[in-house]
Amino acid sequence: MLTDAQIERYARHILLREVGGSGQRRLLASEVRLEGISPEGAWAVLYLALAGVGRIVVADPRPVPAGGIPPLIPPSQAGRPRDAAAVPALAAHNPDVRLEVEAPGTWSEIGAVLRPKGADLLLFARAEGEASLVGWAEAPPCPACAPAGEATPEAAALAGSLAASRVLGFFLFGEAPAGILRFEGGRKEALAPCPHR
Amino acid sequence: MTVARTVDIRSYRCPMTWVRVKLALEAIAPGEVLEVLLSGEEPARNIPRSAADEGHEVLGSEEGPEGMRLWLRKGC
Amino acid sequence: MERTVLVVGAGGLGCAVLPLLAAHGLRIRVYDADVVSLDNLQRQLLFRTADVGRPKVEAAADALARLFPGARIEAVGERLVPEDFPAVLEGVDVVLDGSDNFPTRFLVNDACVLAGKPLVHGGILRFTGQVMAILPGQTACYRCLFEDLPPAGAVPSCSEAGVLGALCGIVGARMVAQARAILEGRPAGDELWIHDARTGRTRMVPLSRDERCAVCGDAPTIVNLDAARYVEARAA
Repeated sequence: MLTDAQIERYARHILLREVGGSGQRRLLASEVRLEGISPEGAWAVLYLALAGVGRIVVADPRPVPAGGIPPLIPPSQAGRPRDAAAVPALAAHNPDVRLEVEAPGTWSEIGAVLRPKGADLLLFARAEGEASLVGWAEAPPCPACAPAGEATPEAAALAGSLAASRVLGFFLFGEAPAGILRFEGGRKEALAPCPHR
Repeated sequence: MTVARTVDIRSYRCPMTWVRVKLALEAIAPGEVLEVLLSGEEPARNIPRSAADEGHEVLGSEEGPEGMRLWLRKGC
Repeated sequence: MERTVLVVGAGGLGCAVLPLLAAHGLRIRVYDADVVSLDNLQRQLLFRTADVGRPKVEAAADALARLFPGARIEAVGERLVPEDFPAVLEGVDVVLDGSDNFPTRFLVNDACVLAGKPLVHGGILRFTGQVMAILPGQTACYRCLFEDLPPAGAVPSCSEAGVLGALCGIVGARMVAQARAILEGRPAGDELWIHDARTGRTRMVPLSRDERCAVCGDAPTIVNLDAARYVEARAA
């Protein structure tokens, strides 16, 4: 049963015909693990926490860089393990979410990997230059497939936000179609299969 | 007409009014009747409209001293 | 050269564009008259539970100051009205409109067209988001496409106020990408980008300036910002 505070907090979800109170209860009972608190991972996990995903496990022992990891982790947390820094940041946005750090665990050096509980595939998200890659796969594309090129903040935001919407779509509708897509310049195309495996 | 459930939304404002009615409709079975207690012009307009939009039948309404009573039959 | 952006609205879309604009080192002027409410937190990612009840622009400015120390943010806790123009556009290089009501959208569009200021419009509804960049006089403006405020009764009822939170990030990212294209003199405008987060489909609908548009057409009838034009029609 949803509390009064939850009914208000998640009102805009409950209003969606496809979600309703039952959909929101399903989200509150869902769990996801995030490997890699990169900018993409930060956007993804923040939207998932705001949406009320009930349990979020984060794994990324790398130190927070000097500039922080916007929009989640401020520069004041520089040097602290990213996963430890993410927990209070997320908790401040939504007390409904059970947050855990799993260490040592695995983490994605490039981009972010999300493992929703109950999904056969993982959700991969990475930004490179102006492009955003997102999709369900058995394994993330290998590092050799990633061209060098620092991602723009908005490409990271797009990758992470698309990832969050995909994960929510899995929890709500059970959908997880395989295939990684590349979004660039407002358009999208399927990513060519990794030739390195 | 038997009422399966009653929900009182007089203390709420849009969109919480419709949110509360929606949650009450979820709690009853298709074909059952929900009674809504509401007051004010805006919910009197919006609740029947939102209900119809989502496939529920507006059976009727009645003005009373404490507000309006509205009856909705839950669609499939 | 220092660039300045005007952000209209610090709600779902505003919260998504603000940290991206700050990350690019842009000076930001943000307008929003609302206070943070609990039902905002599902999608307005700059706000924490403790911010409920605070003016949105204050909470947003605080969040930006934490994330980007030294960011230059001018936070205005007021609703934009016709009298604010053209002064509010002074020194502004591009406007990002993430407002959630038609009167403001049309006001911002008309004001930008009259002042010749580039504008990026973004909108979200349920699972669908849309973005269009507007170069006044060159590309389609909001009125070329949507003509005028909806009549009374055509406005979405509160049952249509549902929205998927993560959509704000998707749309906000696109808005900022378009704003950057404008700032860097790259092609922008004359396309309506539509994303459906339910299906994952993305479409680009080509647009062009309507020569008969009331504000940016060849013989415009809207030549000033008459407040009476920007009022939400009330149902009978």
